[in-house]
Amino acid sequence: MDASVVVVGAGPAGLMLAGELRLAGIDVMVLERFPQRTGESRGIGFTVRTMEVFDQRGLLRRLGEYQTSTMGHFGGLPLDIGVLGAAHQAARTVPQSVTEEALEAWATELGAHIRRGHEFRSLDDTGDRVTVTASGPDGVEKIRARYLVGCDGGRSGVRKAAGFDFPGTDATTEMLLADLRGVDLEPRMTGQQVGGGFVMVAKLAGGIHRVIVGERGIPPRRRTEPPAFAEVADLWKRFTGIDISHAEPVWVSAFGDATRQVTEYRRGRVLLAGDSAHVHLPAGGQGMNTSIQDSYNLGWKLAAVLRGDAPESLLDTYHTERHEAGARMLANTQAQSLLVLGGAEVQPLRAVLSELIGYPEVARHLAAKVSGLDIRYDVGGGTNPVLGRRMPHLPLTAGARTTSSTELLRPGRGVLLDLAGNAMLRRRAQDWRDRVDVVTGTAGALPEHSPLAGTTAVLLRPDGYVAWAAPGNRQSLSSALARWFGPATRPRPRR
Amino acid sequence: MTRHADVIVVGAGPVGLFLTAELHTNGARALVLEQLAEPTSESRASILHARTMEIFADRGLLTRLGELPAVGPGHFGGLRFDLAAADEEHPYAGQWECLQNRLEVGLERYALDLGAEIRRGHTVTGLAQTGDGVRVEVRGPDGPPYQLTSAYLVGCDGEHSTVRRLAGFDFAGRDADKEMLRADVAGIAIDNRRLQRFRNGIATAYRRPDGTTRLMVHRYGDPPAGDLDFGQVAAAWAAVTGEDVGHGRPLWLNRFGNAARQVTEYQRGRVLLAGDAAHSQLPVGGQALNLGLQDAANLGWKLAHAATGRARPGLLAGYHAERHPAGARTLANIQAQAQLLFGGEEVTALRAVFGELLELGTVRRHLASMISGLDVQERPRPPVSTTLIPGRSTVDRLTDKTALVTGSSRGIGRATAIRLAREGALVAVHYATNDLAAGETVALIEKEGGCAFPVRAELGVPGDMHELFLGLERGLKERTGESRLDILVNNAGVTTTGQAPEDLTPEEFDRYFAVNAKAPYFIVQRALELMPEGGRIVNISSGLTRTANPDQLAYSMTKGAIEQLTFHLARRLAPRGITINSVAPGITNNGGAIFDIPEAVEAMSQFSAFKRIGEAGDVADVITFLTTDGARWITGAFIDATGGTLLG
Repeated sequence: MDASVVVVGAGPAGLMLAGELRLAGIDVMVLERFPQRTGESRGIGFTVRTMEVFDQRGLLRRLGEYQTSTMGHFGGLPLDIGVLGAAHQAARTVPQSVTEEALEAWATELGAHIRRGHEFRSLDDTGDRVTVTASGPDGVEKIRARYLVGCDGGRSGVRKAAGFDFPGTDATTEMLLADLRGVDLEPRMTGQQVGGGFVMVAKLAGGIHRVIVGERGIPPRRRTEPPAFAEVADLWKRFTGIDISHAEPVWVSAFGDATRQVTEYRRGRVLLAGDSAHVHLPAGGQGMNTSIQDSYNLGWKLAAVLRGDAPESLLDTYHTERHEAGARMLANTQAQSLLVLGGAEVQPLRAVLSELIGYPEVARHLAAKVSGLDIRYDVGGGTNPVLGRRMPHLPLTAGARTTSSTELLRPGRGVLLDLAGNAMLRRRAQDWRDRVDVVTGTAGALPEHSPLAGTTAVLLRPDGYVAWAAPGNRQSLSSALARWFGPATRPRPRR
Repeated sequence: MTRHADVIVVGAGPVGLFLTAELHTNGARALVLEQLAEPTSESRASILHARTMEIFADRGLLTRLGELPAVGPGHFGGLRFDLAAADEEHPYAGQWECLQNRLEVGLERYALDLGAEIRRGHTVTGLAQTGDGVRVEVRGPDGPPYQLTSAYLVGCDGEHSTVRRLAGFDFAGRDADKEMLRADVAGIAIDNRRLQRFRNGIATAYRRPDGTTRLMVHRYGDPPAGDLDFGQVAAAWAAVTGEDVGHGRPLWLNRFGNAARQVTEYQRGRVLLAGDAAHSQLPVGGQALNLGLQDAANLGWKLAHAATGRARPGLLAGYHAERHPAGARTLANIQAQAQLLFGGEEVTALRAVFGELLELGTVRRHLASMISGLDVQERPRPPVSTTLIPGRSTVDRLTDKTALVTGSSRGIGRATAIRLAREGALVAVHYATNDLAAGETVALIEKEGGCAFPVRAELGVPGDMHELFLGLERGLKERTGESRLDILVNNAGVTTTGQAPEDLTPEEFDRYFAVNAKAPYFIVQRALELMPEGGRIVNISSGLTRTANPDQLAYSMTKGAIEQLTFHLARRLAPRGITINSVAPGITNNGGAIFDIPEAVEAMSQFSAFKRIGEAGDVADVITFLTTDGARWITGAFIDATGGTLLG
């Protein structure tokens, strides 16, 4: 076996997955067809949930300077995501190149083997292993692995080779994007309807302006290469009257509002994560964020199965959880794309929605949706409101130490957090000590309306979701531990 | 110029009829011209929303319309939710069904009762504005064309308004690009469904008790049809649902579209528009009718004032200023709904978002208020003038009630009798000796179109109760066929202007108590035998039970007694739903000689916080309120109606 896992694609999803696998001690090889990072800015923002994820792995400091904001939008309607009361804010102006650089450095430091200039060709899943054929600078080679994960984007070669079904709708509108140097434009962060089209301006780091422009009802044309900047500038002039043709384009691209999702995230020993599993209009940067969270969900599960802790059926939860999350994200980007790209006929609906957004309850609902905080995984029945939800950042005192739920998750292991000094509870987790850290702590004052009010214990999965909570759980701690971390073991020597 | 009416209303649909009634209620004469010879006989159900119900209740119209069944949940663009969410506390939250013909008949009778004239089969063919009025050319069913003049004219003549065209209003907006096809079909068996979504469209079916089925269908992307025939409906139905209805027998075909138009101004000179004449929209959930009736409620009193020269400057302009934005908002909201309703797959995701939001209480409240017309802010209508306008009505809070007001030949009693009658009650005007004065009270009531009869009985003498109740029950039976008494106002009493305590004789003492305390006690005792659930008793006390005046000691003692009567009986009567309360007037002009002396009036005025003497009407209004359903939660109370005299 050449690697336990081969990951195809060194974008955010592939690099995140590589890091997660390494954190869990699994050897991983990443194949990337481009010899160098592209330097393209692409996705430029992180949702609240991604910021939490990065903080749970200590990655925020690697992102350098970035701006955070509570200003979001839903389909172009301004939305205050501060109403979520999360400890993190969304980040913007982080070019994707910076994100990739940070993730690559992290994964590499953890021991991931990243091989650039290697292009995926074909695969052969024989049931007990998968053999990947790739071509590189030294010719074609075959790589044997236990699992293959395609993180190779919207036009995924892995998806095609493994025969995944990718149904959905084609694009109806094409948007052109250009990152520019040498212009100074008024920001229109949430976009603006102009006669016959849509324009948006965002200021990125380093004095770069991102402009996006689309003409309503003009479907994408078939392009073999990115659009010429002149095309963007012409359209911009037509819709805004402003001439940007003198600017220096850093990156020019075209995208559409096609919406597709694979029907299964796993076929045998081949799995998909990120854009290879779902494409949609990149509204509010939800695509990259969802991709990173796909990998965050998959990494620890794949590792548990490969280590032999958990049965292969744990991987099925990757499909059920992330397929649903992806479908929800697709639905909300479609709803948003109608609001953004629809013409005057949509104005009355926009008007009703913008009235409704004035209610904190509505703002919370939509903000949770665009922030990735509306996810509730099925972890078994119960009434505790945090069950299946992501663990909010909770400052803690554990003994003499000041810590937090976020910090406790950094090793990438399970965490049983005993908030009420309950010795019996801790004893029950004894047999999972090799996979789950047991911490007794005291929480400070909870924020108003905290879902954690009255909760005395939580079991956190490595991805920060609450697998079990007391009180208000229908299953025992032992069965929750077994479900997510595999059967109990008599204490055994650490590997 | 001699005018045929203060206002000509064109169109005798619900909006025109209600506007006419509002004009009359507020003191203007209206003449209605309707081109149809007969009222609509269509049995279509209309939906009334909370705001409309509130307006109708305020005018006493709900009693006329009879019991209106509540209809199930409403929807926002096809997403079901309960309109009661607008305000769970609201007595009319939700939606209420009234058959269209019942609504029109009820409103027509109401307008006619108020003295309006309605000419059916009369079509407006021309219209000219003069400096101070409007002249219309009319063609009637027979006879030559004729002209009518009025101070104002209102077009309530619907979507294809003639008035709008003749007066040159700009009906801005857009035509329908999508439409729902409707058909009543016999001989088919189709499952009931409400706005069910299919891949290609949306379909509704419901089977009526008579076996016919109402179909509604829209195929996504279909433009409005030219001429509609059943073949198109059947084809659309098949395309959307996969079911064949082609063999059915069509009884009625119709379609409605998502056109959205609104006049840019609701008033041009002396011509105004209300209802569908001013705005046309997709008829979802009855919003169009309700919007129109609310237009009429807003316009009626303003126009009545303007047409009779009583309006403050700018009053009438408030109609456009208030109703144009309200209409625009409703139109926008309906367009938003049309988008959700008619939109195909591209709208599915956004529809789902709205579906999720409708799970939230605030959202349900917001949208239900919007649809129910409860979120419209407008200047309140002033109370209907207390000046008597012969032949004009009332607010009818006491329709079908009967009342006995003792001592109502003059003063507070008379004012009370008049008000109760104005509210629709049949009033027994009791008096002791003054036939002439009692007759005047009855005449005043009858002049207003009310109903009353005199009952003579001297109180405080042997046989007084027998005499009083003989006259009362006879009078009630003659007029209502029964002797039910809903309201008793114990107002009769004797007093003097002043007498030192040491001068009072036992005979005088007994007389005070016989008339002021004993008689009310036994009147209540007898009246309770006639009083149904929901009855009302009001005892007139005096501010003197709270402020010392030794010169009226014995009188004040009797009033103390009557307050005890109120207080203790309240508990006894509550299980029967009967309320009993005391109202205490201060110095009130009862027509006595002293009130003709300016210096005396000036001196007496100083007692009230408002620095004037009370008028009989001031107190009568308070009494009247206590007799209405609105005061159902007050019992055993001492109600200070002294104009602040007791504030010290």
